[in-house]
Amino acid sequence: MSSTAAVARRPLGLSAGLRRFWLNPRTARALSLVAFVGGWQLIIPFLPTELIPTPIEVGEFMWAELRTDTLAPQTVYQAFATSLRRLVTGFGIALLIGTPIGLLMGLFKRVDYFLHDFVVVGLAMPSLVWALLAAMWFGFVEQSSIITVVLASVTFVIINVAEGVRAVPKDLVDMGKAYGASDLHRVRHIVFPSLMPFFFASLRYGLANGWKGLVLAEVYASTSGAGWTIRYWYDAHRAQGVIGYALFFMIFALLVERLVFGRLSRWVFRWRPSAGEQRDTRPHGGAGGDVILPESADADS
Amino acid sequence: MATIKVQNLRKEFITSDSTVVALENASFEASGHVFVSVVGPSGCGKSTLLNILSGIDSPTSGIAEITENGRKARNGYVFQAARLLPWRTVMDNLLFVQKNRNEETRARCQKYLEMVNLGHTANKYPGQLSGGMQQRVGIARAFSIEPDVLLMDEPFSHLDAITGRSLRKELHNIWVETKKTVLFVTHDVGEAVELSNRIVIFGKGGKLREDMAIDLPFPRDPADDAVALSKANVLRKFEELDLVAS
Repeated sequence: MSSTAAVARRPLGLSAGLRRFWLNPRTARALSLVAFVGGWQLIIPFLPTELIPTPIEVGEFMWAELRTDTLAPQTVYQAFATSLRRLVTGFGIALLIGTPIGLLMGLFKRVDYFLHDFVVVGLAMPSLVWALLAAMWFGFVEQSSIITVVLASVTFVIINVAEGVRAVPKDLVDMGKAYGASDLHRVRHIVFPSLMPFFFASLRYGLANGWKGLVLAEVYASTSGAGWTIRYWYDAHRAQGVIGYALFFMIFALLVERLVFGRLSRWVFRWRPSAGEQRDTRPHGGAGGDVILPESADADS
Repeated sequence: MATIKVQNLRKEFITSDSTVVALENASFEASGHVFVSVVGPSGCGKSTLLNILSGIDSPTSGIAEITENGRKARNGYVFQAARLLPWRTVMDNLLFVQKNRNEETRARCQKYLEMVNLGHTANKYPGQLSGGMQQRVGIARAFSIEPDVLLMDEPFSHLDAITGRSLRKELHNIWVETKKTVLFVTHDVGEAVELSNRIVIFGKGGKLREDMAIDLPFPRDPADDAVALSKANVLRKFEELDLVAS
């Protein structure tokens, strides 16, 4: 930073710490959130309706739910546990069906031509359609929700497995062959690790889309679960229930992303050079450090 | 003693609209403590030859085999790119090509990493190393199985001149020390003259055109008159055979 800029800012009278706080991107994000919630709270009294709750009312509702003090037949914990069980079961089935189909599509061009358009249609199909069809065909049973999850997520599994198989690094497989590694050894150490990014993509998108389908299926074809509880608050004309549950979904999704996917992918992809650790492809790069030094020393000799 | 035997070797690649002949009627033999360079213009089947000898490809007809006292030999292969598993540490990359993974093997891998001056990188991932260092790990991997024969496919062509030069010196010293049979594919005539005691020239269409000995004392400095003259001789041979920029 140039010294003139530092001089120009001095008349503001801000201390260095306060200025850093003000310039921090997180401050701006927090301010936007505070402004939104504050504006919401202030504007409600002027609206001619009883159906929009204030943030404080939503907060009170959520706090009561978390203490299991609720009018609904299921507590928030029971509702989410039910939905989570259906999601995991449905996505498990989607993995079992989607993985072999994806493998075949990735390995054989003919299978790919044969199925490609159906997979694309499946990706584009709104989850709502699957939820309604499952409700019509199977009615108010556990299976409707699970089948909706399967239908809403299986195409994400198929497309990612197929892409992953096509992206297996042939040069590494050939290297394994040249060194006489067995098929099993090559699949385990070359093919399987190279599929991991695609596996994570199918996990993220498949679960996200399956979850959306599940909530809809629970609204239309279930008597339990998080989606059904939203329906319950909708029928009761309690908007803070609907909004509160929407916020529970967001918190739930964030927790899964941070605690499960974030950690899992950091561990699985720990071999990727991190931003802080400069990768240097030239032997005489200026990065320095203990990794690069021996290289420069050799070149001098 | 290891023997490389190539006899009437032919390799065709069949594509949807044509058949490409990569190697045609190629024959040569090499055995013992020799360093043989295979040179020729691009598309002359040099890499195909190594891929067949290493078992990645199979020949259309003819013989291509490497034996050690009558049995099938163990080959180390150094590729143009390092071809390391990015998700395994340097040590695990070496262990990947071993028959078993006991303490003795581990110690041997460490020994060959130290041979290429990379003993301190055993627990690093390839992505944390420079291109030249990755290539040296590839060389250590080839030696770590204690091969009978070393196959090298333009191992230094992706590196800058200075790194390439220091690795050539290293390779020569290791070859002198370990007394391996080396088959070295390159398009760089200077490199071939600097390292080998024999040069085999392939032409377009995978035909073997020339097989010549380079009888100069090691170590060879490219700036040395005799070495420079030898290089000029090989290049003249290229012109006579009409292999230049065809």
